[in-house]
Amino acid sequence: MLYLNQVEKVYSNGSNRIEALQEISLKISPHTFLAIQGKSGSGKTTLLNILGCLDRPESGAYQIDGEDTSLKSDNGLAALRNKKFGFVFQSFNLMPRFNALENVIIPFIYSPNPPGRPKEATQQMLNKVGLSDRTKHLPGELSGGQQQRVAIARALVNNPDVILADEPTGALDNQTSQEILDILAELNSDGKTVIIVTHEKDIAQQCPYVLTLSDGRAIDLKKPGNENLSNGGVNVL
Amino acid sequence: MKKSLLLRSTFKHIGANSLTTLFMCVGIMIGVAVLVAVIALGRGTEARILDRIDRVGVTDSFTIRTVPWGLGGGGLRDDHGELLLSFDEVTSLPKHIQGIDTVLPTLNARNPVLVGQEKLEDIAIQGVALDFQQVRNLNLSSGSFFSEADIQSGSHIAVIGPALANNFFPGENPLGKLIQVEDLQLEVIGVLDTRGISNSGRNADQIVLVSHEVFVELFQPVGLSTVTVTVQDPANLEKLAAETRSYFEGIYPGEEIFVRYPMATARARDEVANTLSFYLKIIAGTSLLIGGTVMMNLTNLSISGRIREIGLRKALGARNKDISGQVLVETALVSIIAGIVGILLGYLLTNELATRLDLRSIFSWHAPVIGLFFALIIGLVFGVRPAKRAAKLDPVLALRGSQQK
Repeated sequence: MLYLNQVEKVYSNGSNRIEALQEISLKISPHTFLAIQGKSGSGKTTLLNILGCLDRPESGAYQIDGEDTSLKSDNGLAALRNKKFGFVFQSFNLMPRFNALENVIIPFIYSPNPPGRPKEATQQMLNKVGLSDRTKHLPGELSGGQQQRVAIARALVNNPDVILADEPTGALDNQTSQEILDILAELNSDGKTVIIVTHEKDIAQQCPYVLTLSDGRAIDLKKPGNENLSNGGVNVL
Repeated sequence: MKKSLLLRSTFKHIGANSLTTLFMCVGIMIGVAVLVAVIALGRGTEARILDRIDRVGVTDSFTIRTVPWGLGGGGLRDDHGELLLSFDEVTSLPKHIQGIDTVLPTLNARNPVLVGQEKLEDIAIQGVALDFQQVRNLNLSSGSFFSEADIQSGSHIAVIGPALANNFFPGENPLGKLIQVEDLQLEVIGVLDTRGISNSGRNADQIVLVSHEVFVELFQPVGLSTVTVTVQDPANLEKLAAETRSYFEGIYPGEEIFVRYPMATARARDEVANTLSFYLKIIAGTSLLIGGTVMMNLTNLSISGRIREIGLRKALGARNKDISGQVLVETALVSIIAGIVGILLGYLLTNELATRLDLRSIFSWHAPVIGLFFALIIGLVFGVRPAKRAAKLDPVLALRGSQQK
């Protein structure tokens, strides 16, 4: 359960104050598949960063499974990012000199209890995203869709509860975008919470829950018709 | 597991940026190389001083001369106008100055030596006292030194240096052979051990030693110009040398007496090495410092180029200390590599310096260990700032590739 209460984030740039997030109160249950949409500058990436503990709210509270993140040290947040969240980025953010396997294995470096056979665990994740035969390829030798799948495998390797994806299809063509979205949907049906940020309406529309931000405020939440506990839930409070 | 992964990625990074790595290495490499040379040459010099003192054997003796070293001093007819001391003045020295043990008047000449038709020019002929061998700590490789009885009987005998023996009697036993100096045939009764080049730069192995009596018969010297004096207590060496000098200068007002201690000579000769070592230390320190600074800046630069990577690592759960640790591991690894290359360069440099400047060098485990230690320290010390900077990067900003808000 992710719980945001009256979260605000302000960027000040000299005399300019940019209110990136205002009075955001959200409850995101496990197994939710949520899209956050909005125009550029609406605060959707800021919200995702706060959800993923990359950033701290200016004011308000953020609780993860009942724990207040404001009480956590930087190291505590790093541990949460390592264990609780998996990140997927628009530009993939793969290490160009590392092959697929070496990229996926990175979260284990920072894990307090990595598996006994990290390479096998890594290989399993690559199999899961359909890249069983691309293990030794460098990112430059892979297509955009394949690179994003490597990134998803990396996000999954520590078995996190929540996948956070910032414009995961932003750099991909329509067909590949759909493939990536299908993988994310599959992860959700496996039990993961998946939260994506997107500005593409057709991508957002495929997600059961769609939160729309404007000028840092939550202005709309679309819920699926048949809301039940098995596919999570989102509430704007 | 975690460490091996980290090391592997470090090696990858270093390998992929080999040019940057090379520049990072240069300063430390030179610094370590010079450091290794300082140590090896320093130890060699020290050993040589000790060795020389051992060889000269006399830390309790000094030598006085009426002419500077390298000039005349034969004690022959005073046709150079040089001051000559009489035997009496010299041998009575222990009576005048307390603390002097023995006096060893030495007569010197440079003269041709013949064996049959063979002739060697300009050979040092020394007329020495009986205890010369003992005081000067001379060893014989064969035969014996002349004895009291030899002198009583007035035998024409000589002890020769090994180089001279080789020149005249290659492959033969020189004992019992005759050499000719002036008009006298001298029988060789002993051959000295090799001593090499003497303090005055002459070949100490091209020498003929005869008794005073034989020397007088050969050259009819009118006085002495060289006297070796031993003292009872080596601690008083300098004081007694000064006293002896002023004693003779008192007898011969206006004349200058020259004094030399073997130990001081050995030290003075290695002044070159000491000076060299001093400047080498400055060079080593400077280049280590420059190397460290260069490495710090290049590491900073490389961090600026890897901000997104650092942001990503933070997003994947790296703590601040993981990031700074990785930077430190990288700088440490680079400096160890630089250190190893530097040690190898140091060996080459030392050999080159030792050959060119006629210095001795001794390699031992000290040089590589100290060299590596300094390289590692430099890597860690100068890695701290870039490491801290990298650790402090804000993950959100770093993921966007920017450092500042």
